[in-house]
Amino acid sequence: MIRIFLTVIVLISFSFPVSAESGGGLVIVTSNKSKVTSLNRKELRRVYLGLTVVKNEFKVRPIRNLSNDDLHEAFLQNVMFMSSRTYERQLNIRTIRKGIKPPVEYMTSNNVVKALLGKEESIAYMWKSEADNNPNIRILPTQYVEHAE
Amino acid sequence: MNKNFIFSIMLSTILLYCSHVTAETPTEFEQTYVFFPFVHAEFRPDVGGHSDLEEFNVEAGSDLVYLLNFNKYRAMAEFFFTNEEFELEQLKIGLDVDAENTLWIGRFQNPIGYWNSNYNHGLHLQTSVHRPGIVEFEDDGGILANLLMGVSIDGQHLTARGGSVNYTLALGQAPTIDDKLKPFSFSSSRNGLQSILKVGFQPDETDPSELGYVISYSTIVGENDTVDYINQTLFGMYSHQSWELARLTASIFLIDNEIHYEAASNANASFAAGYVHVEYDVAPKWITYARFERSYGSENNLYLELFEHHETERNLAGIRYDLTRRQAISTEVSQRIVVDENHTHISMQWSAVFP
Repeated sequence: MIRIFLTVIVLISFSFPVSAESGGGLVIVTSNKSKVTSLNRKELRRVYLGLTVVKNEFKVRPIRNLSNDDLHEAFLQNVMFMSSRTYERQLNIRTIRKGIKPPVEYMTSNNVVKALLGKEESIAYMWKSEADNNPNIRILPTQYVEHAE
Repeated sequence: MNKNFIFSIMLSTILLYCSHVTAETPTEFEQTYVFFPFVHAEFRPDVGGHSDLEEFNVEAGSDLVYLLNFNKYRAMAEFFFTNEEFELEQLKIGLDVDAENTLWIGRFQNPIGYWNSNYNHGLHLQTSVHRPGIVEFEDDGGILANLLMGVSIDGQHLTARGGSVNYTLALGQAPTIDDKLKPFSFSSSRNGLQSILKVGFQPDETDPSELGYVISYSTIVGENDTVDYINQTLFGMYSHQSWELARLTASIFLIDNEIHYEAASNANASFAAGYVHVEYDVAPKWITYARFERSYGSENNLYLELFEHHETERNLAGIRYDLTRRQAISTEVSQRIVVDENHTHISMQWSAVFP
């Protein structure tokens, strides 16, 4: 029975195209008043895995922006370099294994901005066009390579 | 539906409400909760005359992890409840000694290798429906302790190249043994001790790939008329490798048991057991997986004979479909050899993680 099941699985495996979407114009932002001035790629990944990164004596707090599927996919591909499944799994494993609080998440851009302005040490990701239109937030210089428009 | 199950649902609802309220109200305390609900159906077409194994079984429930962080202090409680049982799994208090090290006191997961440390009761996290037999839960006839009551230090050392050496050193009350292992409880008349060290290495701290080893020594006290106590030495190695579309997890355990019987005689019962688990993302929402589990020296092994249904071999294959970012359904077929018998299990499972 196992052999039949394995055969079916192999046949299914070859019947699906494997594709990866990518987004562009993603930037990392913070409040204008924030003491967070820059983050390198490694620090960004650490922050978004719930690990501690301290900048100017403030612990950087990540915000997940789930207002747009393409934006979230761009974040996973360009910043975290992992699939959504792997990322979610990493966060949950760190929570149940080490008691690490996962990043707070919001489903609308308005709430993301509100949360950014509420805590100065917070960072988030959004489309560049959106960030350019908001005078209260600042784009952080970051060093992740795939920073495509 | 029993009283514990109803109580669990009520507790979950209250925690859900509390967490919702505090999410928008910043305080010095930070609280988090994670639910891992599931519905599991299992069909065993060939169990035949086994009165203690059901041919068809459906189980529904959830694992609930609640976290409270306050400055350098942490508290974690984990409840596991189904339509058949309710259990307080973990209850521990932690102190962040520094940015990389945390001291825990209480009842916690035994760090035996990769699977138990990372997935525990979070069924949605493990791609397969079932855990490997060697790290099966005590309640389900598992042959190694999954929970410890005591103290542990959990930490990491970051390397200059961005890697991480992770370690857990724990000392606690070992389980007792009757017809199955029983984790420490305050009703136990006497318990032995377990000391365990797990060391893992991640070449990149932010990448899930890791390899490591675990060493443990424990004294398991007998609660039946035959076994006085067992001195168990365990050495294990594990590896979890993650690529863009595939993952591989492998583990091997060498276990030596020195059994001291009530009748003042001794016996030695050593064996080795391991598994190789592979997963492949065939499409964005589809994962196929297979696992091969083997044991050596398990025939007529006096330690394993203390357990009613210990498996010596298991092959399984399955497919999982992610319904949403946090929900999945899986179908799995496994063949298991229990002593001289061959059983087929067909499983279907819905699993999720919330919020």
